[in-house]
Amino acid sequence: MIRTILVSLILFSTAIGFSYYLVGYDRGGQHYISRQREHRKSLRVGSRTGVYYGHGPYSSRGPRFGK
Amino acid sequence: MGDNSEDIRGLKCTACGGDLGKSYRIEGSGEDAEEIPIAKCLSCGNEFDQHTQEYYQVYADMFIADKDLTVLQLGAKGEIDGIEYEIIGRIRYQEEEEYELSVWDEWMAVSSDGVYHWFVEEDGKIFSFTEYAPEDIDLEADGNFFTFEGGRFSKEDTGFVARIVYAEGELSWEPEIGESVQCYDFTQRGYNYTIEQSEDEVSITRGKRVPHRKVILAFRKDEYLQKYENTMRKRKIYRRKAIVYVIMMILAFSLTMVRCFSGHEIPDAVDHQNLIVLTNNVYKVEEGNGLYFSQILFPPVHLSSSPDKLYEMQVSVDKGIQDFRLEWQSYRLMLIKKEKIKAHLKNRGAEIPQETPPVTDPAEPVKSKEDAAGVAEGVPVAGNYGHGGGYFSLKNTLEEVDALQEPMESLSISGDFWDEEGYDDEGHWHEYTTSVDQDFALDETGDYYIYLESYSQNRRRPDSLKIAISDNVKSYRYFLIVFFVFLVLWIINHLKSKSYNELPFEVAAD
Repeated sequence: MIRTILVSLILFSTAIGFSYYLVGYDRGGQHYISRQREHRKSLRVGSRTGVYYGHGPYSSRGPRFGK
Repeated sequence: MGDNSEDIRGLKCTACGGDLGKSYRIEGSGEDAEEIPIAKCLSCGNEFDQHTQEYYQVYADMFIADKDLTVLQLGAKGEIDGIEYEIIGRIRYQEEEEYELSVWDEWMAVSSDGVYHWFVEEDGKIFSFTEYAPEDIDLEADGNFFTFEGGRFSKEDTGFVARIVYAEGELSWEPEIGESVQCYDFTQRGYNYTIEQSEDEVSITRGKRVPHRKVILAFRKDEYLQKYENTMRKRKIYRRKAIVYVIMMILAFSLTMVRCFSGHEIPDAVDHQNLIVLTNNVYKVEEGNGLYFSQILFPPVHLSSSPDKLYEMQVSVDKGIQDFRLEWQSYRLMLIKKEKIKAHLKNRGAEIPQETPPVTDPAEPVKSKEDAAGVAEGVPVAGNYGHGGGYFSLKNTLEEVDALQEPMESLSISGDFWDEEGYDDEGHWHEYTTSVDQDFALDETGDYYIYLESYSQNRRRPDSLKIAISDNVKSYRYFLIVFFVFLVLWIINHLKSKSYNELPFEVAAD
């Protein structure tokens, strides 16, 4: 029983900790900037960082606009 | 009477005298098709289903496979509540309506005072029954109902047909394998009653449940008492664990709900009236795909929540401004500190323009500066609005925002809107996403420009995108995750609290 209560408390505390420190959320600021800075250093001149369109089809039902 | 299992061998078809074997027939069709086990004559093909005596004789081995895994056994002697019993016979029944194994054992015992008792072992429970003479009973009272000592019972709800599949020991009559009995089981005033009705006889027994511990103590103490105690102790531990996990589940779920509905939209946080359209639907081809590209800068938004608070950014398509039908649009949104843009433009000797260029026809593409020459009169062209160097500096800066070695933006998020339709087995379907919510946090409070790049399949009005920001949003995802972890742990422990068993036979909770 003690082990069960301990496991429960650890799990719950982890959830509280992760929520408090916003682990896994997009965070704007110094961390983002330094990460981007490093990322851009590794890019060759003229190269793009990504494409932001054309990920479809989005629906799991079938092809886009398919009939 | 002895073991009847030998009697079923060499069974013959009543029609042709041929040998009987196990077979099946298909009932239903398509996904509902079901293999129904039957007995079948190997000569004439005559079929015998579970409503015939032959079926139980052919499948006798299936019904008796676990016949020795019982608490009681023939010849066992023991004392329950001061009365001594000796087990002298047993009948095993199968419920006729079930194709699967659905058996129970009725053990005949004689007590020290010479009275016959029946101990019924079914689904891990044991009941003790004795013959009972009711004050009044009418089995044909009202069509589908019968009356019993002031009670009225449905034959459909209480009735079933039992088939004898095995018998051993000294019984008061000689049962046949496959013999059927119409039974009615019901409870009244705390007692369990069974009415067994055959062609020429009705027998009624009344009984109550007997705890397994009592039965094991009486008849199988040396073999099973220790294992029974261990089983019950372990089940109790699992039950307590399950209670702990239930409490944690409730806690996690409550916090999830409370936090899920946290956050308030900052009223008029984003100024949609004075947005600056830097590029309006310029047609581009990238990686072989044609698309329309727009750049929009929204006036600064004041974000003042502390760094440990979450914001929620909702970007959506305003269909009231422009319909969104069978197309896609992707966006990338950047939060850029006001001071950074100002400083950057200052270095270039420019300022941020205060007004947006007029959009005479928002669906009309604006040609880029390079293509501006020769554009028809009235079509808006960047640089024709008196913003001078500020406008172009800003546009050029943001076009190169990815290439700046020192990132200007504080955060970048992206999303997609789509609207699709098609046909599948269920007919026409139409699905879409025209609103995207994303949570984010900021290290620093202050005024942030919202710079938005739009990539669309069709021309889209720059003002058809709406942005709303909520602050004081609480994170709930981890409480939801632990809720499911606790749920799984609860299910495991709950099942074990019911099913953990060191004994060779089924034991339900007493």
